[in-house]
Amino acid sequence: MGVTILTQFPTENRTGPHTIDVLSKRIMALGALQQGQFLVDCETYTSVPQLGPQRTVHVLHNSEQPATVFSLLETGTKTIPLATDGLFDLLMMKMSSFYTSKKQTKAESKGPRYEIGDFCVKLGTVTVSSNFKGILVEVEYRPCVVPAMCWDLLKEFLQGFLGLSGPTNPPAYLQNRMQEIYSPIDTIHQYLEHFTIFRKSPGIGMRA
Amino acid sequence: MERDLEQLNSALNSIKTLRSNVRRVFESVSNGLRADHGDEGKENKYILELQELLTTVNNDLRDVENSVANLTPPPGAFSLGSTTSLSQETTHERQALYGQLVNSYKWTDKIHEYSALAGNILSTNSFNKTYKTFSTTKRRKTQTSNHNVPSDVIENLITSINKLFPDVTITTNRPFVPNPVIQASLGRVLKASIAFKGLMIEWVVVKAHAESNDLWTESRYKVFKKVTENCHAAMCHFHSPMMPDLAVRSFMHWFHSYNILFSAPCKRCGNHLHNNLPPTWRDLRTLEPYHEECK
Amino acid sequence: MVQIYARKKALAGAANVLLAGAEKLKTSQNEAVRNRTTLDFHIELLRLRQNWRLKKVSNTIIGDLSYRTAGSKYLQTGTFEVTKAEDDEKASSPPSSPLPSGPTPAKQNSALRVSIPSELQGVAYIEVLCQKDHEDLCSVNINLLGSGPPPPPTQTCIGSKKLEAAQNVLFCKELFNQLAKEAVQLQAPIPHMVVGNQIMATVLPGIQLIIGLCHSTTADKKQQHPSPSKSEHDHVLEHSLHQLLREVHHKNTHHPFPHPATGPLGPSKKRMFAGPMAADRYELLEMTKTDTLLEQIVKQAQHFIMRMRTEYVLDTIAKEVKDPLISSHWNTLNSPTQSCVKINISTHGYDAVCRTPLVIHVGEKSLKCICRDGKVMNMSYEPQELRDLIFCHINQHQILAVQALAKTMGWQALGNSNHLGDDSTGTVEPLGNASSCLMSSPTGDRIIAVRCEPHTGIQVSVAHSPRTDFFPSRLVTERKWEHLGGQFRDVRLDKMEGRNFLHKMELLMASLTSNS
Repeated sequence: MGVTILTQFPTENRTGPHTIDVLSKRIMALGALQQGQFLVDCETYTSVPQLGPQRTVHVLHNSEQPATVFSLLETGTKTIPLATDGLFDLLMMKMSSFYTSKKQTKAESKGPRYEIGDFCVKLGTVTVSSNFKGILVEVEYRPCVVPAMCWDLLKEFLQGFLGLSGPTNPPAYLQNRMQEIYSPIDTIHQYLEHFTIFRKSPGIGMRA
Repeated sequence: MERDLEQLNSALNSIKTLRSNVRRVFESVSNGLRADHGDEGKENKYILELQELLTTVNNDLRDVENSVANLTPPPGAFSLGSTTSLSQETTHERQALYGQLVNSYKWTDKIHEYSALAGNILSTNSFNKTYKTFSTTKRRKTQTSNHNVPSDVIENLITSINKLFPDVTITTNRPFVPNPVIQASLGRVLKASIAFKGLMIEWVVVKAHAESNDLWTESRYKVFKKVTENCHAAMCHFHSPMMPDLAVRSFMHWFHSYNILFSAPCKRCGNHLHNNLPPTWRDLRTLEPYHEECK
Repeated sequence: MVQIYARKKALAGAANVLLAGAEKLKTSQNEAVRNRTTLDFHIELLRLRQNWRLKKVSNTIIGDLSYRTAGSKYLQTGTFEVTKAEDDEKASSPPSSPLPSGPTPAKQNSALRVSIPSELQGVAYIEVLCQKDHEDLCSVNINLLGSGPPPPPTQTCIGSKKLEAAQNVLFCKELFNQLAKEAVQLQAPIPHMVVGNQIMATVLPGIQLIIGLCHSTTADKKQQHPSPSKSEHDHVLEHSLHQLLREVHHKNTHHPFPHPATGPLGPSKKRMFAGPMAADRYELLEMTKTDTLLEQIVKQAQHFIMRMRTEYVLDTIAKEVKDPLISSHWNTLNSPTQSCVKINISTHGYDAVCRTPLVIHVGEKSLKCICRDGKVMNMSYEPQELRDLIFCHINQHQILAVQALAKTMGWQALGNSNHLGDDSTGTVEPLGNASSCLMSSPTGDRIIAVRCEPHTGIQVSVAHSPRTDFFPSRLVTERKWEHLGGQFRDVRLDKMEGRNFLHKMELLMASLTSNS
């Protein structure tokens, strides 16, 4: 439930697995323990033309909240977030005649998950339709729920672990939500933003 | 009073500067032309010098007027009591008495001042060795028990604490009437369940807001586990059998300093994190944040 | 004559009428008496019906005393039969009644006869023993009959007591059955043993928890129970076992309603909210964790023993150590597996000078001690560790108190150490730590050294500099060298005046100050 900062880590001519390796060595050296793997995936559905102006539904799963399906409906003017239980997937299947998915846009970020103190660190390899796109580092500070209160603390942690490539400002999405209570859907928003960027960017060309 | 004195001082100072500058004018006038005025245009130079001095005098005069205008005239005549008749004394040997009187007055005044200061200092370093007083002369103060107190006393204490801090909200439930269990939530940072026995804090557990209110399960987060331990230490520290309500109040005051648990860096090392924990210790007197290892 | 005869006949006729009437009345009265017994039967049946589940199956009345309707899933049935007690049966009522008193005399005037299956007859109780090397630490007899709620007012019904006893037997059997099943299934580091009617679980090293099912069908067996004197009735453990199974029963009957109505039945309300509220892995994992009855009772027994040990250690120390007073306050609010004790170390007459508070959390297998400065010490289940810790704090208290006292006396504390025991500062203590401090008089001409050891107690030494007498020797030729500090000489504290250590020190400091 804590505040999560998602940041992209530059690969700098290294392969994806190699970068993950470097980062995981660093975090292990800090005393973290690996606690399994994680996976965040995103599938995008678009409405059929009969429904009027085009709307997009992003359906995301986060292994951190295994019982939940997150969805973001973009109507063009606003974004409606929704957190539901697992049955939502079945509902989307029923609605396949109204919302069609573009299979080649399925994005996911997966990799090892570490716990260090109250922090949870995830090193994700991002693939869009199984093309390697980059590295996303997620750091969650779980006891705190207001981003403004723990941003300095998180920045210190991120810089201690990512060095100079750590972020100096809060993610754009969070910047005008710093005083609000953070919820898991905010993490999903951050992921979606990054996925959208990755989808538009040309693939690095390496298979993950 | 303090301000009045300051103004009086500045007025006196400006008068002093005025007098010294006027003196310089007269000096210059009395000296007339001097060798250092040189040969050519000595009259002009002399006149310029005089002019300059006069402008300063003018300025100083304005200063004096200003500062005098600021002064508040003393309200009426000082009542000196029967000492006024001393001034009407005609016998020669008794005329010196007034001076002596003023001196002794000053002396007692100083004694007053010093004894107040000494009293302050001594009260912090008490020489009392026990809380028990064996003196029978004083009316015996009713011994307050902190275990067994009427419920309205506790109720009052809790409501007063609730009013004391705007960002601490307290909800009470009382499984047993004189021993309430309160939930104190501190802003959006944390919440604590505190169990009382009368006016004595018996048990504290600190958790995140999303966690259950159960009194016996500890938080899943390391930082709150540590804060819980520190709360127990503070509970020990502030416990005072003589002033139970003060103990609770100072504990809550100390507890309130956790409202910046995540945002304040350590006072000693200046960092936020040490051992992946924010500064979890609060100094018991100054309430400053420290890491466990830095305190 | 004829008249007389006729009168006699008429009288005889009238008498006959009266006799016939009397006879009729008698029979009707007899009838009424008989009617009343049947009426009693119905009323009693009604009363029985108010407290027990009864139903009529063909010609017999069958009752059910099992806890099935309360949520029990135990397979054994608890049916009993209710019949009308006939007079002859009453007379030959078999003396097989399990209870030595109670129902037997009551039975004589009851119209009901309750027959219970033989396996539910008798008295059963669950015996809980904490055993240490075959020596009872405590034993708890859980006899639900004795500890159950007070009987309802309609208890006059004779069947009720018998039925309650049978229900108790059934409950004990279910409880024991459940515990035995769990004992076999659980993978404990030291496996639990189930032998006959006993379950043995190791609570702490050397201490076993023995849960036994005692089921006796004859009255005199009760007296055979070993040493009732030893069995300290512990209400916490007794209550717990009782409660745990009831809780299971309650959970079995109280399912949250599925929402939406077509949803699956079973998951808790919390689990159903987990999806939309985006519960994380940890929370979901926590929801699946449930402790079995045996685990819970083992934990409670562990805590029970830990608490007892802690109490014992604190009480013995408070008895042994007279000088700093040790008072302990046990919290009023406790959980079955957690309790907390506050310890205050202070000296009589000097309570405002120095006070050493400690908090000790007693858990299931460990102790945690928190000092006022935020230091946390974790200890194992061994009571010796706690003893050492308290002694260490007593020493620290004495040293701190003497320094606080010195401050009020105008003396200066030069230095102190709470953890002596290396080569340079004396021998290593077998238990705990020695602590010491140095203090100098206001003019600096006298120094007092104090050393506290758990074993030998407190040593106080005094040094004078310069010494009052000076004799020039070849090595020390001038008096000024005496300012460097002289030799320490021991003070015999036991010969000194004073109520306690601090009082003695106060007198010592006062006497040394006034000399200078």
